[in-house]
Amino acid sequence: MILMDAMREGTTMVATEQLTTILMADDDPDDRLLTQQAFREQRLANELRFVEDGEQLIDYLKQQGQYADPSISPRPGLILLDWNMPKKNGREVLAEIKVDPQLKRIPVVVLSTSNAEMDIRHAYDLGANAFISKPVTFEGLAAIVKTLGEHWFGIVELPS
Amino acid sequence: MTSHDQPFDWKEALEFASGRRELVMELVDLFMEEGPGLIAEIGKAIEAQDAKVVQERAHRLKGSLKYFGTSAAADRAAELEAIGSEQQLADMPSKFAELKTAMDDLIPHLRKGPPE
Repeated sequence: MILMDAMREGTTMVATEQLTTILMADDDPDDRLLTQQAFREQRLANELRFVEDGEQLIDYLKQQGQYADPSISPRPGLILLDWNMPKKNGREVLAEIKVDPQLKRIPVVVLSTSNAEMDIRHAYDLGANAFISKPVTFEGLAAIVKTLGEHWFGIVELPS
Repeated sequence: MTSHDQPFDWKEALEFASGRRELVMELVDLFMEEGPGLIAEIGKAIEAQDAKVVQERAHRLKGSLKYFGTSAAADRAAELEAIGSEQQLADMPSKFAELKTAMDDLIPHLRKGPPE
């Protein structure tokens, strides 16, 4: 239950200032819970924050509304983006992010239940940095989280 | 009746969670928080003849059941979502009644949790 409480508050229990903040946009509470659990199991200490739809994601990134205070809503260094969300979907927000000079350098990893070629092409055309089909087991999700951690925070250099 | 109208079992949920009972119960807790509220919202939307809200809430209910594998409740939610999408207002009350029955059957199983 501690995990669920932390998830509702929008942050992991392990928050370390110097580590890159990861922002996940997903309307499915199950998927948010499972991703948080996978981060814990993989001991990925980055702060993981959540928004629940595309409009919230844009508000967060542009520090608008409830996300206006950057000390409370720090700029993310990586975005995990659900492709199918209400209000603004993944396509719309990805397009918006990648044409915005202030936001376009933030890597965006698209997560989708779809593995349709059309969706994959569309995501990369819009500037996605990776496209991942959501796994069908928790172990699959944990493996993806481990690989994301190794890739984005162990191998590549991210813009500051 | 579909082939999914069989007694609910935990096989698919436990397979998804690789046998982690605690993780399955976290998903159950989350469903218990969201599911009944969605049912109430669907009922109100049907009264208001708002097919779009029926479709959206039924979609969310179906999604909230996805990690529990096949179940009559998930099937009824999917059917109600389709009816909402097609704006078949006259069919909504009877399908909603079927959904509520399926939920009433399912919830005691979920509360009990998977076998130890």
